[in-house]
Amino acid sequence: MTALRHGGFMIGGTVLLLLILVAVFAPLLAPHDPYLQSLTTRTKPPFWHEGALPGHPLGTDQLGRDYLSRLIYGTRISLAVGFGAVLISGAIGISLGVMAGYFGGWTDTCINAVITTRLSLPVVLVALAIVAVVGGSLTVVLLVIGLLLWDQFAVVARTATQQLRNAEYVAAARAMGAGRWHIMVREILPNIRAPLIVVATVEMANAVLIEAALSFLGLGVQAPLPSWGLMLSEGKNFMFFSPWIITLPGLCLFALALSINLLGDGLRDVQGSRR
Amino acid sequence: MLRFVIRRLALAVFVVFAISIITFTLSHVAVDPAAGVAGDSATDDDLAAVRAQYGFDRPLIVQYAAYIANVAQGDLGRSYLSGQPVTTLLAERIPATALLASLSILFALGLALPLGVLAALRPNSTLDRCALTLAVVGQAIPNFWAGLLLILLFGVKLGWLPISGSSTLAHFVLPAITLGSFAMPALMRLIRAGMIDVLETDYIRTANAMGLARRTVLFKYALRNAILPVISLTAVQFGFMLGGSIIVESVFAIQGIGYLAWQSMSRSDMPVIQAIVLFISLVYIVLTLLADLLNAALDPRIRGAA
Amino acid sequence: MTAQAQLELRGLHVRIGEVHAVRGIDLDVARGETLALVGESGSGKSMTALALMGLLPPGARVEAETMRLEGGKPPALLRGDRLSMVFQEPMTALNPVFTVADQLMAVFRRHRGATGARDRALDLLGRVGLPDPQAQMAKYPHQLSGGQRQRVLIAMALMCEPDLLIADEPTTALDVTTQVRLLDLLAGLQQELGLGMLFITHDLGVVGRIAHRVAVMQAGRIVESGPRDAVLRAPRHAYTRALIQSLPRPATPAHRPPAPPVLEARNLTRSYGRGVRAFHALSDVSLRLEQGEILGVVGESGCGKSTMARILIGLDRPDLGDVRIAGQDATTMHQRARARLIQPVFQDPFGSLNPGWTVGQILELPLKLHTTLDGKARRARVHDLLDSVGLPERAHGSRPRALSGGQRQRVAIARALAVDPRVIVCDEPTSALDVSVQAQILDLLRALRRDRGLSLVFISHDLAVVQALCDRVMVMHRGAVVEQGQTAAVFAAPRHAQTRALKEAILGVAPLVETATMPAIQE
Repeated sequence: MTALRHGGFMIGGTVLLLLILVAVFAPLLAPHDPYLQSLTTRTKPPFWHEGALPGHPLGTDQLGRDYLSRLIYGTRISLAVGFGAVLISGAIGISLGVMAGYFGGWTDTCINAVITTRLSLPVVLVALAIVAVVGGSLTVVLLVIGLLLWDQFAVVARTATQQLRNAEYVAAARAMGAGRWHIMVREILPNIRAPLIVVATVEMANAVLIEAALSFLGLGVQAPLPSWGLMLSEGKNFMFFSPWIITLPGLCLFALALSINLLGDGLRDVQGSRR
Repeated sequence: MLRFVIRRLALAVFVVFAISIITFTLSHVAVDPAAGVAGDSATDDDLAAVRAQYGFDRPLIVQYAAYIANVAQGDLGRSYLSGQPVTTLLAERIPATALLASLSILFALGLALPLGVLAALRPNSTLDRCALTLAVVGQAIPNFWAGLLLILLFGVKLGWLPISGSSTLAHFVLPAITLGSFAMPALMRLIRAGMIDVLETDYIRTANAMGLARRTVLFKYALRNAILPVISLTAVQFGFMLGGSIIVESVFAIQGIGYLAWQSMSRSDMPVIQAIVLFISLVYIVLTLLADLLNAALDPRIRGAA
Repeated sequence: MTAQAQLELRGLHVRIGEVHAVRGIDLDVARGETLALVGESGSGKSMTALALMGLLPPGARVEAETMRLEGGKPPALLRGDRLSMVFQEPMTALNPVFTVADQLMAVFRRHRGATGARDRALDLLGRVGLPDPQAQMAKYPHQLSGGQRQRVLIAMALMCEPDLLIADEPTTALDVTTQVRLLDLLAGLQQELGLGMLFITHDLGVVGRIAHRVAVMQAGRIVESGPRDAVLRAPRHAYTRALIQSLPRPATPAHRPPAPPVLEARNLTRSYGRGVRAFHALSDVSLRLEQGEILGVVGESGCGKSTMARILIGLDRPDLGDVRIAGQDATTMHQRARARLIQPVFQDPFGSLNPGWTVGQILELPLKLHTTLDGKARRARVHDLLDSVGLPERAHGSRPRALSGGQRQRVAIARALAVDPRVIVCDEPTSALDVSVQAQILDLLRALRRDRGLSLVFISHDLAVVQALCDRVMVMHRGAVVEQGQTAAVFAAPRHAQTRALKEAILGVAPLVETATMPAIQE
């Protein structure tokens, strides 16, 4: 089945692309400054309720800031964390995994012990603890998540490399006198791309949700940044009277995570049917 | 089999020590433990006195050794905030989290097993697509948001279930569903994928070729093989749930160790935090070790007969 | 043809998706008779068997005018009971978490009830030649060898006394000596039990050994059928003739003047593991290859031939012993230097080429590593290489996925030639190929030896191929060389028991085929 025919892949890909465009063109799309507070227009409902204001189609939050603009700028934060953390964790995890899988022996045993240690740590707790010590900010959150989420990359890269290590084309390359790095980078790595891309989508969705959780608990991105998780936390106290305050940012998170997951699932299906 | 057990144990022991180093670093190196004990308004003299009294001025190795010795005896330090022994605090809170995690994994398995098996039997059918949709939604939904929505819907609008606190069993229903929905997708997919793979093996083909009844082939031959990786994943997911409990407990105000962790973090109460991290890691290590051993016991190939 | 046909099949069509795999075939199998269904890969022979058993995937469409066993019922409903099947790959055909006893008795219980299941299982395990049936019952599949597992599977197929047994290449995945024993076992059981047997194979040698009648399949149709001797001696259809012609036949030994050695290995020893459980892959193995010679290395699995190949190529180091190539000491040579002297061609054409690269890239790699040619010069060389192995120039842009097995193997040979080595070590290079393609590759290797003065080490388990291609042969067993010499001489009068066993396992059709009607092998 080709990628273009796969429903999930197309939906996921399109929504993700749209969100990326929203993030890139945020200044052009947002009707207001997301940080602009206004005492007179606090907690106004979105346009489908009565009492809504014309200039704020999705209402305002408890400090009078335009909700739509904050949601739009929020895409930047989530996508920045998503891509950034995946790049960092991918680089770490794939390097460790390929080396463990290719060299085997003590290298594998050591790296495997490191991976198992990382797996035994409760990620969210450790991330929270580190942020509690170092202080919260977008950069810190991105780095912490990136430095903690590499385990699946390593596990999958290691297993895939082990399977290919004994492939005959690898033996042929060695017989040809090719060096170790050539073999790992040019023979093995391109052939393990497929499962790793799937891992990347899963971890990207995880990174987005973890950042939201950290910010929700107050130990992530700090106010006044429009992180969706932070908006949920700020709005939690008002949710009984103004339910849109928590439904909207949650929906955005859900949409982003869902589109990434659908994209990943679609990729996995497409790859699976091609082999 | 013996070699397998020994190597697995050795790995577990190594990981325990590695984790203890990490938690020790968190509580004694990343922050100034003297400042934690002495409080915000401590003077330099106060800090120096505290250092001398608690031995924070000794070389790190010595402190670490003392730390390990204490942990081995069950002494996890004292909370900076309340001064209470951390062990006592943990002991009070563990039952709630244990109950929450157990209910959650039961909920997750209760959905994942039947759905996964049924979906595998009819790949690409409507049932299969529904199951996969459910899985992908469960994976994408931020679970604190789901918790808030459940509170709004079942707690407030419909008023069926309590939404805060942990006094009755009913208090655990919504939190268990929230936390369980986090683990359900992974388990369901694994069962489905595992069953599909097993159903395509040569030995299932042999069973079909010999005319065995469909029910026998499915439940006796196929499931028996497909269930093996599920054991390991269940242990892993249980461990994740313990770690993820912090979010759900804080949303639902359940008095468990997750909630305790959150309270401690907002106030940098390091001894409590590192004890919780250590505890959860230990549970994860023990669970995965048991799961691997169970796996080995059930799989004759690993059991290593003559 | 006997009066009552056990199996009657008329007009079978099988369609899977767009592919029309079986296009209207008729088959009869009588009681006590073996019908061999012969064809190369893709001919539809396995599909026919699966259709009879009702084991095709859900999307397949099957139609037949008549498809029934004696007694009138459609066979698919009777599987395991009056009709059963044995498949090709025994290593994965048994459930790993259940014992032999459980799996055997389950079949009996399903069709005949619980009483007598255990006794029947014990009886059959004995009949299929397994020693100590009582002990075998309690074993798990991973404790049995491939040959033993296949015997268990044959026992399983016979549990309910079927009238018809379908065997789909049941011995192809096994060692040659095991193969011949299992074939004789099946033939014997058939006599004893009066079974009808539909035996699917690509190997005409198997046909010669056990078949009474033959049907030849090509592209979904049966192109010829009849009594075995008639079909093999006087084939009427061109395809059958081509199949018989592709069979490797012993070469007339050409006289070669003695030449200096281009490859010498002395006292190679290699073990894995330590202490009591060490596995001695090679024990004091020595080898000598003369310039322009083709040396065959034969032996069963575990004899050490692949280990020796890896040591010669440089992928492994011996514990003891040394290797000299073209007069130079290769034991401590850097792989870059060694690669210019000796290159491999492996068995699996699907696995020996990197699936993500194009043929051009694959062939340019050795040129990049070992020459200082620029891009243009390299591409010209690639063109020459493709030419020398009989591939068109446009192949350089293809990926391995788009090529056939024979074409991929040609690319592998071209890659080995790229550095102009003195020696090429071929490790079962034609074992995974159809017999007609195999013949072409053997011709190619002969031509390369003649035109370029190449020397070859040719490892194979297929003695017919070794007889057809190699000047000298070396027989290995359990890590040691047990016999060697000129091919014709060794096979005419084998001295070691292992060589004799291997020779007896050759399923030649020569006695059945009129050699006068076939052209002689070109050298």
